Amino acid sequence: MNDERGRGVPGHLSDDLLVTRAAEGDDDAFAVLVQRHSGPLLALAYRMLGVLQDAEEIVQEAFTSAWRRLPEFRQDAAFRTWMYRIVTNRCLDVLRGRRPVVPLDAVVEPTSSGPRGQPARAAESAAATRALDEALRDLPPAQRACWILRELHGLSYQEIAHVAGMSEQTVRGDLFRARRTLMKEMASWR
Amino acid sequence: MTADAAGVARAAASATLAVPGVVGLQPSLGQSLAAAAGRVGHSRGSRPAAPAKGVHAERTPGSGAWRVEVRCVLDGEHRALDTARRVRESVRSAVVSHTARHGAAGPVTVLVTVTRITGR
Amino acid sequence: MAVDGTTAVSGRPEAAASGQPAASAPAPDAARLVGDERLPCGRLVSGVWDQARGLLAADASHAAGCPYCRQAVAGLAVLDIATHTLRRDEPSARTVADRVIDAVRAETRLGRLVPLDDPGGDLRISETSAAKVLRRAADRVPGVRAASCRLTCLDDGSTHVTLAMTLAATVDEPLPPRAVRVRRAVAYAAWQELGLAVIRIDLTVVSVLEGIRSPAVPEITPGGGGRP
Repeated sequence: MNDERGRGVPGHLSDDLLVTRAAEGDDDAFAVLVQRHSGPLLALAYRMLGVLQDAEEIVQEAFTSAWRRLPEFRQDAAFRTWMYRIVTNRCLDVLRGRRPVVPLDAVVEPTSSGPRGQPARAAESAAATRALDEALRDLPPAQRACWILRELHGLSYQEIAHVAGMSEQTVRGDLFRARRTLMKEMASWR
Repeated sequence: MTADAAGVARAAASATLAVPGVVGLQPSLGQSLAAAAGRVGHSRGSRPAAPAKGVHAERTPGSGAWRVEVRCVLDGEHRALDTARRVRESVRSAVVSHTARHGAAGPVTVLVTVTRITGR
Repeated sequence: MAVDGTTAVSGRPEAAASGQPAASAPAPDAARLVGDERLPCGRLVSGVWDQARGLLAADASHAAGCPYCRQAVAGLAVLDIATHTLRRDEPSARTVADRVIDAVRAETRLGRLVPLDDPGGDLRISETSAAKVLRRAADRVPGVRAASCRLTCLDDGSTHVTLAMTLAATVDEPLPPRAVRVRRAVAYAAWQELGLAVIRIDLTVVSVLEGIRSPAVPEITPGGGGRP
């Protein structure tokens, strides 16, 4: 474990310690939390919404509201789960409000090359990944959230239940249905 | 020409920024929001609100005494107390000479608040 | 045993009518049936998936020839590969992180103002910025990290303040000597770096710190003269 120091805050501090500091107004501590969690949260929102700009807005808003609410934040849940919960619910709200209209840029956004501009992979695999991304967008919002949280972010069923505000049983059911649908979509890519 | 609060605040702001170890002035939240909204205009006349961010100057009616408050950001290279003292002296003498030049001399009280110390 | 009717896991009619599992099938597990489906051949879909992924020992005599099992895993390998690619295909969050940090810094929370030790009493520092300096001092003590740091001014007209700090500490060393070092480092920073008249320091160890080695920055010792 190395001692990466960003503006006087040791980077390897646990989330709990950083949250305690940030709740007392330490914006350097909060900056470490932001750097640590913004990547996965943006990926989550982007996969959920398909529009990078909307995803960025939601993540930014989630963090600034977290900063304001930190003084009242009871550390019974982990910061990470708390943030996942805020972002997931904001995304579900947006999707429920805009369904079934799929925004134009969601369709043309080239997922396989990604916003980071990765070098092109084998065309076949890129096309399969794009197909998966599209199939994902056709899933009902709750199924999509469950699948993304489980398969792309590795959350446990219990965590997903907490984050998405569902029972664990509903999560299992939604996840199974999502996998079934996605496999059906992917079967032609054998 | 008479010394107005805005002029005193400007003099205090430059005196603060001239002190080694001071890296900036801290605008009040209201000033930040106004700046963010692009509303930087201020009314003419003897409004006590100072246009210089991070500085507030006002003259006590009757006594003619000046009360100046500065909120500053320090660099952390110097001891905060020592820098704050230097800021107080620097601001006091700048305000004394500014008000004397403009025929508004009076006792000067300076309040210094360190709002932030930047990382080393 | 049929699939639990309340979970409605599939649109395929044969799943609900699958009846008793075949003798060679794994024992039914009620918990797994939530979000699962039993194939006509008696296998659970999730089990067939796990076998195909090599997570479960394959039932070679069965799976190869069974059309239900074959159909159940159609698309699985492609899905897994595409999922893996998608997992790494994260947009850069740098812009968002920078924007959030800028917004948060602009929204400075000063907290209480505490007096610096000047007889005039007209020099003050925000608790938030003083706490950062004091936490950093505690962080320099090996095996210790500061959590909360609160300053309280006394209501006696003096510039005296008291300090309450909570800490996380590793368990590889006894706490008392370490507390002495933290107290010394914090007192030194309060006086030498800030100029606070701290008359009492309360330290509480609130959690165990794991996996931290000695810090890269040397500890400041009083009387050492100058900074690291």
